[in-house]
Amino acid sequence: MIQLTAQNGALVPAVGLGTFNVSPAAVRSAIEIGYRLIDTSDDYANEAMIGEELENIYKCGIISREDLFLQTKVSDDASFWDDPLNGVYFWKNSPFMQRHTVEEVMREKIHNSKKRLQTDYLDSVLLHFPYPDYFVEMWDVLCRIKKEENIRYIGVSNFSQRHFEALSKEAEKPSINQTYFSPIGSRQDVCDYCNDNGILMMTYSPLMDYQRKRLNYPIVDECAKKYNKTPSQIILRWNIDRGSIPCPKSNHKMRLKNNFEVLDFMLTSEEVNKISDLNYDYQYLPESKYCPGI
Amino acid sequence: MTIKKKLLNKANALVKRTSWYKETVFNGCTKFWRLKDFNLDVINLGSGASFHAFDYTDIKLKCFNMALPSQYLLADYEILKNFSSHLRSGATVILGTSLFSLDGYDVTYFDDRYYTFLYPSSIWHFSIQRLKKVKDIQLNPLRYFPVMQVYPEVKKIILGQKTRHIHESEFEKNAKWWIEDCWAKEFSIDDFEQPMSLRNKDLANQAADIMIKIKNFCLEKNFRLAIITPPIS
Repeated sequence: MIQLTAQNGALVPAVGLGTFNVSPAAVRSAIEIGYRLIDTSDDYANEAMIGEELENIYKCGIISREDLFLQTKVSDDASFWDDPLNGVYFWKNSPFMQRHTVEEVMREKIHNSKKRLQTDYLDSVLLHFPYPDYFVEMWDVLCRIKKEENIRYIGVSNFSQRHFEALSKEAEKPSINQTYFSPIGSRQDVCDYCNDNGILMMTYSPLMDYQRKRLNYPIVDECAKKYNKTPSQIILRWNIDRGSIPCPKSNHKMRLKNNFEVLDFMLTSEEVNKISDLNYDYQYLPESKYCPGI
Repeated sequence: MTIKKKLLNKANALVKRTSWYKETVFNGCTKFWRLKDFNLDVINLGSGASFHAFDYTDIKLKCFNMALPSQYLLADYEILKNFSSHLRSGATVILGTSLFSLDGYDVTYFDDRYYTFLYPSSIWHFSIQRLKKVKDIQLNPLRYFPVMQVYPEVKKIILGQKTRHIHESEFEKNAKWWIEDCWAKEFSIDDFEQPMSLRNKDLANQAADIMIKIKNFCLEKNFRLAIITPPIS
């Protein structure tokens, strides 16, 4: 698996914290447990909360900013706290985009994210979706402004092979692709493409299908028994062994701890394949409903 | 939950079963709220004719009728883009077209029902205020249920839906009435022998542009597109 490093050169553990709807206390607990990758987005409406909590954590001396890998995303949402205004940015029929350039919008969004997260640099910025009208231009802009905006890694989210191919003429290729991977929606083609092209994968909502009781399969239970782990830990480890960093979220300290305790064992390639074979192309959040035309 | 809240929920549930809710306000679109199937083999798009022409009962393939009554071609395209994740690679997309695919009005007009199942960027001239209003109607229809509608709805529940059968001998008369008294007027056609008016040519060009977009999208996503013209009445 490709390794991520924090600004201080330390390797980032291969489990991140997804932060959609998590509390400040959960962010603090996660960092105390050992999480170093914090994943958010400008449309989660929680960057300010995370920034504030991290500032407190730095002050307490638990960690410094340089120990942390802070990742956010650029979305098409124009809301900061109130009703979602999805679709305001990066769509051709949005009147807003007839008045402003992609670069103007990207710069403003990244500037606002840094301000809310109370940081002068970001470890990683991802394009939240391949918005069909603009994603190539967005990537081009992101490559150009990376240095000026003090961003260490740039990447994408919810991209599939044809989107990567559309970016193949660009100067820089994405370092990260965060997407939904699940044993029942394994997206082997995306996984293979990323592994073959040196793109680090991350998984959002890796335990959603387990929580919704869609992963009650004997192979998962057998592995859990064999390694003396819980089924959810097996799912997280399956992600890591396919080359993807899972970013589960939780507001419970115990669950955060359990989710992090997956770095002390490995599944065999046969077990990984058996779990991947459960695939039936399920998507709990159908991508086209969040990014039509994807 | 208080008794008042329980009663309100029950009353809202009742209103949600009326034809005012299902056929007038949300004209045929409630099926999209419940769509959870993936890897669909066949879907069909289109307006009223397509909506009534396709019935997939007893077909072993995974199919879904995505056509809606009174639907413009642009809305077909947006529906396809919004629900493409539900289709398997190689799926068949049947596009039912008719004279009304050209439509005579603003092709970018999206009525309220689309706010309940399309992404905001797909709704041209989207308004967040309208979205809030439509969501409220969707969840609390009792507040908006017209009093004048109570009698016909109750009558329908008691007597059932009335259907009118046209006798074979009436077919020609009926068709003539639709063509001459309705569609010819709607599309300002005085004489079928004359070339198309500039206005109708514009509409045809608009429709052709959208159909090309649908075709290109299907090619990009590896869907097989079939264009058909179902009978209309």
